[in-house]
Amino acid sequence: MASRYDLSDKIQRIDEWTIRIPRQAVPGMQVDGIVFADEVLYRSLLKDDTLSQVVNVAMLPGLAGPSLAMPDAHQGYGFCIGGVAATNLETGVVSAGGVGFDINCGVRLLASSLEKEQVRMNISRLVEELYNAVPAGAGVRGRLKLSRHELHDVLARGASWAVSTGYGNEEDVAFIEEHGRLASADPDVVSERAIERGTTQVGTLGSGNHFLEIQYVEEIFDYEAAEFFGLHENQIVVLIHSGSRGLGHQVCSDAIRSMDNAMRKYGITVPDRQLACVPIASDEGRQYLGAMAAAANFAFANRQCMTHWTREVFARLFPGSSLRVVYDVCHNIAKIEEHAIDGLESRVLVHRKGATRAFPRNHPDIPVRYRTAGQPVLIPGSMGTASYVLAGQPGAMERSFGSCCHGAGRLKSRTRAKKETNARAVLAELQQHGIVARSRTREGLTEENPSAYKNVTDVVDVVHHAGLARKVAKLIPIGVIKG
Amino acid sequence: MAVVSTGHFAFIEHTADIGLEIKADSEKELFQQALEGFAALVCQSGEIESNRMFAININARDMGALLVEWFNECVYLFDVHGFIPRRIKTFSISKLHDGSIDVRARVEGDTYDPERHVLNREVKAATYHNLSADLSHPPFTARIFFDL
Repeated sequence: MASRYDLSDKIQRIDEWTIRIPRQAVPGMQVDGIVFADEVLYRSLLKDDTLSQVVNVAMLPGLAGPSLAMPDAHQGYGFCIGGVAATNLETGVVSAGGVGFDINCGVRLLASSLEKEQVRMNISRLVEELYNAVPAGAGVRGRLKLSRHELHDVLARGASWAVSTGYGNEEDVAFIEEHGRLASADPDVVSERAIERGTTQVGTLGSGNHFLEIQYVEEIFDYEAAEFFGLHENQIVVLIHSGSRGLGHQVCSDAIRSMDNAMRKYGITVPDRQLACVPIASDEGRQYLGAMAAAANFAFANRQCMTHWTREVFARLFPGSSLRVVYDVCHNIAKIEEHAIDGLESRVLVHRKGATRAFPRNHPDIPVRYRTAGQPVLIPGSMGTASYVLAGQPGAMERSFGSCCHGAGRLKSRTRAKKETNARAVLAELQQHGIVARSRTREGLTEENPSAYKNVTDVVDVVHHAGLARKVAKLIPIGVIKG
Repeated sequence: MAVVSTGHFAFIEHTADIGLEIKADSEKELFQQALEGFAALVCQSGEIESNRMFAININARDMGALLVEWFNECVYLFDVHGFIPRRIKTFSISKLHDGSIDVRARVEGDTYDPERHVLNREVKAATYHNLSADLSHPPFTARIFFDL
């Protein structure tokens, strides 16, 4: 069993937005733990094992900097959700648990040519048609059944596969992290089981916290950046949250088994088996990174197909309207990136487990159109509450390996959330706020009800003030589709 | 037909996801309880009939990892075949020369049918997080967490 450490007299507050767990706090820590949290969010972290998980990650071999937790962090398994860790390419490890089961779970924002008032009157029908067009929920098969050859192509090409198959246009891929394709993907190392799980799941939303929301821009904080992102007040936008489905889950399960078995060979011990890891350059490490990138490409293609079907519904209900991809970001990923370590430019493997890349203005990996604004960072709130569009700030490169939060962050267990309400009450509350919701299951509503999450505005305020990303726009939902 | 069971399972709260605690008097019963726990995790209501059978052959270096494998077989069978497990038909467990443990089983169950079954949620995978399995003497106990 992983330990829960008593850190009460060891934690140091650095500033209003940051705390440090010094490496001397627990024997075995190789680096400090840094947690971005104000006093309110910090207190919520004391209720579960989040801080102990930050400490456990600080014990991994070959870390290039502190073990980090974002303000939406909460207890996960192995890594906390909201955890970031960078490892040296030569001496460091890769941990499949440091990416998570839903590889490239991520968010895509679409900006429409419609205003709130044009859609409000028709929102029930729009939600209903989107619910029918985008397969969602457990046990639901996708609209596509791909051959092995086609799926191989998906794994190699990501969003480009979808575009070349007629799901979207060339311009879309320019506004996706990594252009919707990790070139390091190796479809040939993806297991037979993962392939089997993937053949009917391209273009499916999934269940749990995944969603498709119709929102409008309620407030603009940074007009210049909003103009670069193509956002204005009262504009209708669509936010899609989904990942690599069963294929990605299987890739992670395969890798954790392989890493758990291989650790002894490499003389690695970890405080929680879910942190199983291997040297980056090992056979197991290379194999995982190739399969992980292939699963990430699956997720990019998945969100691209759902974008296409969303556009079809909008075109049917609002002839002449358009939906443009603003951006698409990964939440669960490991990527080799350049960061300054002790003043030297170094290539490191950044694990983001429930965290978003947040590169600042002028970074070469940002689309040219956004380069003077910074990378769009998409932060979905809990169901029925606000979401935010942020822009990456230089502080992210200095303090968090170019990363920031990924959402509101869970506060209550699913069991507790379910006990405290029922589906009818959740629907009524959403309706009171003018939100129409459709969910395949009651659990999709009760387990995900807003009281189960932290206040997303508190979370976003911390990354804003800590200099990781700045607020650009606030989005309010009017329609929700859940699995 | 009800499954005769001397053991039991219970769900455990976890901020991110959900856990399962299992108690049983035999190894086979422990794995049977695991099947029932999985079915309860996935399926909210509806009779789970015995109209299909799948073989589950797994190997792992210890009992905890074996349970992770057992559950991940269930996840795979549900995801690909819509199979909801009900009961173990045949079961054998043995320790191999290399110290690893082998389970060979046949499992009966039902195919998910939206007309008959109401599902709770998808299970992404069983995890190694805070995994424990004590089979030193009865009652055998195990604890496992899932990513949902």
